[in-house]
Amino acid sequence: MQSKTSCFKCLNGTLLRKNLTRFWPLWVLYAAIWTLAAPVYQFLTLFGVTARYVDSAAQLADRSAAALLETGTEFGLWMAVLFGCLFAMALYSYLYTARSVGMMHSFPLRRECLFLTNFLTGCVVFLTTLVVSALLTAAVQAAAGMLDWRNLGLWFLCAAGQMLFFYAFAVFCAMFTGQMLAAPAFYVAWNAVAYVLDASVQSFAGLFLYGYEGGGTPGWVQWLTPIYQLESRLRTTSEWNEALRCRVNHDVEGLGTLGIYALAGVAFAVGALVVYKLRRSETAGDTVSIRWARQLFRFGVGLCAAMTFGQWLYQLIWDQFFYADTGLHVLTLAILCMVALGLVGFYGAEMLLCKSFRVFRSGWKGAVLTAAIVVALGVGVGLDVTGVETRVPEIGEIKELSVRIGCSNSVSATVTDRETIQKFLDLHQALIDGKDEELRRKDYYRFNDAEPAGETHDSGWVDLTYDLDGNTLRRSYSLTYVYEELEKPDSLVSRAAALASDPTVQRAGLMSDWDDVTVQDLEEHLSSGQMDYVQRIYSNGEGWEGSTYPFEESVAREVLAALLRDIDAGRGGRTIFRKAGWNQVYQNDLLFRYRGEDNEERFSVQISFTPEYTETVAALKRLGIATESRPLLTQGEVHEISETGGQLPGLEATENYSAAAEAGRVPPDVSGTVVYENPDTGEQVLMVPTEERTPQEANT
Amino acid sequence: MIEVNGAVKLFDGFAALDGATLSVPAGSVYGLVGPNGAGKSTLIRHLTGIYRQDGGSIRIGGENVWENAALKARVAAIPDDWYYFLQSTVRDMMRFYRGFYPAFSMERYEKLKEVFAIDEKRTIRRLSKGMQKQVAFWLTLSCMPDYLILDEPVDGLDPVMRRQVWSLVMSDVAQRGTTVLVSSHNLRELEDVCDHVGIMDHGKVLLERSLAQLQDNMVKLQVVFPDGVAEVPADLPVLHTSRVGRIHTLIMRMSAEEAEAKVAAYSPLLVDAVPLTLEEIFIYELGGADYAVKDIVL
Repeated sequence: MQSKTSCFKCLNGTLLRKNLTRFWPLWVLYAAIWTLAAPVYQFLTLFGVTARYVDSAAQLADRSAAALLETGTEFGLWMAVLFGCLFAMALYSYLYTARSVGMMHSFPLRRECLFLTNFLTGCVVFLTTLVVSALLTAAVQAAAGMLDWRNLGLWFLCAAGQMLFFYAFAVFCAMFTGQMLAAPAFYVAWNAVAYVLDASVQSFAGLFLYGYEGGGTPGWVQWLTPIYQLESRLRTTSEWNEALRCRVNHDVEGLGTLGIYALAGVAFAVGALVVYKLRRSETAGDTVSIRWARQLFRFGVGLCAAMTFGQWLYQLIWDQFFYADTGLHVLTLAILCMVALGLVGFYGAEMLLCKSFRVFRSGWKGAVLTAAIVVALGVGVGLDVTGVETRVPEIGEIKELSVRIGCSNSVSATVTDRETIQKFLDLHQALIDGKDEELRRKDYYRFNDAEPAGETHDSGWVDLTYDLDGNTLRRSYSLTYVYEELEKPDSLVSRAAALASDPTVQRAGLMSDWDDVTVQDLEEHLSSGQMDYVQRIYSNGEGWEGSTYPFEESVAREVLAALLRDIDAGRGGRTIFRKAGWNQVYQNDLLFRYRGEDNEERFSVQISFTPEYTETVAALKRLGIATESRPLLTQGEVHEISETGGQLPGLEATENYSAAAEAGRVPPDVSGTVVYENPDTGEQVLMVPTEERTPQEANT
Repeated sequence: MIEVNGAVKLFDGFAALDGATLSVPAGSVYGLVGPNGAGKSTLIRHLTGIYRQDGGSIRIGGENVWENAALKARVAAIPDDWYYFLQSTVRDMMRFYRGFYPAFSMERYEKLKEVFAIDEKRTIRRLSKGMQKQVAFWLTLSCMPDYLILDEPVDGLDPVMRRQVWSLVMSDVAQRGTTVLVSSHNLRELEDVCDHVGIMDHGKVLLERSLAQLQDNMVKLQVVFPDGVAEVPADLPVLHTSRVGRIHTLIMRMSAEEAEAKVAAYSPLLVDAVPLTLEEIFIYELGGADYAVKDIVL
């Protein structure tokens, strides 16, 4: 006999109607928020006060499209995350008490019918809401004469696709528990568990593996962290149209990712149905309602607690006493902390499962197993069983290499040149081979107050990030050295310094702030330049004030050419590892602007240089850029002048400050006046820039 | 006909049903009795398709109950803790039930409205416990079930209403041949309505008989032995004895005729056979299963 209200075997109209009427506040809230976010927001964008300040219909259309699509992608994501969970909790709330599950399961409906009717209720609500919102938005746009069905379609796809995934995922999570509050907890945990565990393992490895710096978030972890993946991949794009002075061709990228997650949502819905059929009614009230998942829960919570809170405890307490120490005793302490918190997690989970605090005796086997797993993991990672520490990639697997070498100053560059990459691979291997010596030096200098850094030794770093065609391998090595080693070509620091000065690295470093722009692009599209210079220096170490001197394209080309000749001659990056190397860098940065493909001057490159850039210095002086009033001053010189007074190129002392003050000749802007005291005589001298001196002052 | 054959149900290793077997003839009223924790409610939840057994079979009308929507449409149940939606009125719940049970009769619903005299527009949660139970009967009987399964159905009902609902149930049995399985601790009431009884303990059905068979199978004798016989002779197969003055009360598992014949061998001064109540049968049957009223002085 068939239930008379079944439209077909797997749906029940009575239940659907009851769901719609029973949880109406939730549906209304969802609909109200979308109404505000889509049609109302569109109305405000198109008819509100901001609409009066646009210059053209194109600009208004730009704002309208951007508002709509960002609502669908970014706002839609968080709506889906929140309401997906709330929908699932409401529609399957009957599973969480014995009374309600008893009633629902005693009705003449198969489990499939119950599940699908409940699931489809959620789908009907969010699809109806989104369709109605889209139609209202279309009406608003039509009223403004800016109806854009394509963008409305994209908006609908983004909002609906994300909602489908997160709703289905929340339903899947809800099937595993018999407690209302556990459902959102599982949902949040499963959304983040891959990312958190990966970050925890990387963090742990970073503590104990020499040079290990993590490898970013692997692709598979990103896919298993849907919020992260959709947040980073599903984005709005547009093109700038200079003629219209607004963005055009608004689009959404990442629809493929969205499609995959939507399909995953369908798969989760099917999975949830399978779990629902396996689920026993008597598990209402249980934290975990599926037998095999109980084991997963016990050990999963234990392991996660060990990896996250265990490390946190270790870093909170022991890091204070063993900072930068990577010895076996520190590893042991870290593992002990992880085991302790792992056991807390395990027994906490056991208490939730057993609904009792008396679990210590009955759960001892599981506790031992948890501790063994944590110890094995800790020892495995800490002692580098898998050879992560000694791994140097093969040159053939490297797509590109990003390097950062620094001490007092630094150079960052991304190189693809095979020969240069091989040099870095050799340096990488040498750094690994020098592990013991480096650790010994760090330990020696760590608390050695008699030899402070900067006197006889210093500590720099070499960061290497290999792009292995999709995967990333990151390493970061400290480099503790004595200055004398800079004279030995085979020393690690000399090899690092040589690579820092390598013309290929320096040229790549020029463009490190811009993706897909080369030095050739800069040379071809160069439009102008400028040089920073020090205008005023305040005494007593209170800093300085600067200005810029612009120069046109032809001059900029000459300066850039000189700069590149210096770089090609290996004069760049030489000061990085030198004693007080930062003092030897000019305060005068050079900035080169260049035009984009649309001939608009939009991009710029800022470059620091040193007195060793002889060609550049000569060109700047020859072209009248660096003058006495726009002196080339190193950071050391500026600092020295500021701190101690003394010679100040380009600025002239005028007279005794007291006399000038008495005669009323101190400029009104006293704060901009350079005053310093002669260390020999103690006399205070008022100094003004040569350019700013009045004829009277010049005569004086 | 309701047939449970070797049903097993484990809860974390504990056997709530441990090979339970029972048979409820069609059109009968079957009383399921047993001590707390015997497994009665668990068995009922299997019969209503809420639980799935780990072993054995649960069949109604020759069909398995589990996931059998067509069969469950003919089975209605009132659990001991009847559930309703918090915001629902009686009429809301009626619509809900009507949507699931194809045989739901609005005509009967309207008739029962007069019997129960509850305002159908009132929110159920605002009704008293007894009135909520009446609503449960009202809706369940309106479903016109072929099989009615009741778990502690009259708890909370006043004596008049108890008689009323039993009367309704019995009229269904008489007029429509409804098969009723009822679990209750109120053995006095069961005695009035049941024609078959099953006694459960530790997840098993210890015995099931018609009430007449059950009463025929056990007898209570009041005996006065001749002078010189102070105690009940040891070779008499008695389940329980007690004594007030010279009168011994003997409970024996046999017919009255057999019992009188056995006692006659001791030349009693007085022998009187008294029929046992269901409650006494329950107590003395379970006494053999280590569940007896203990004479404890606190």
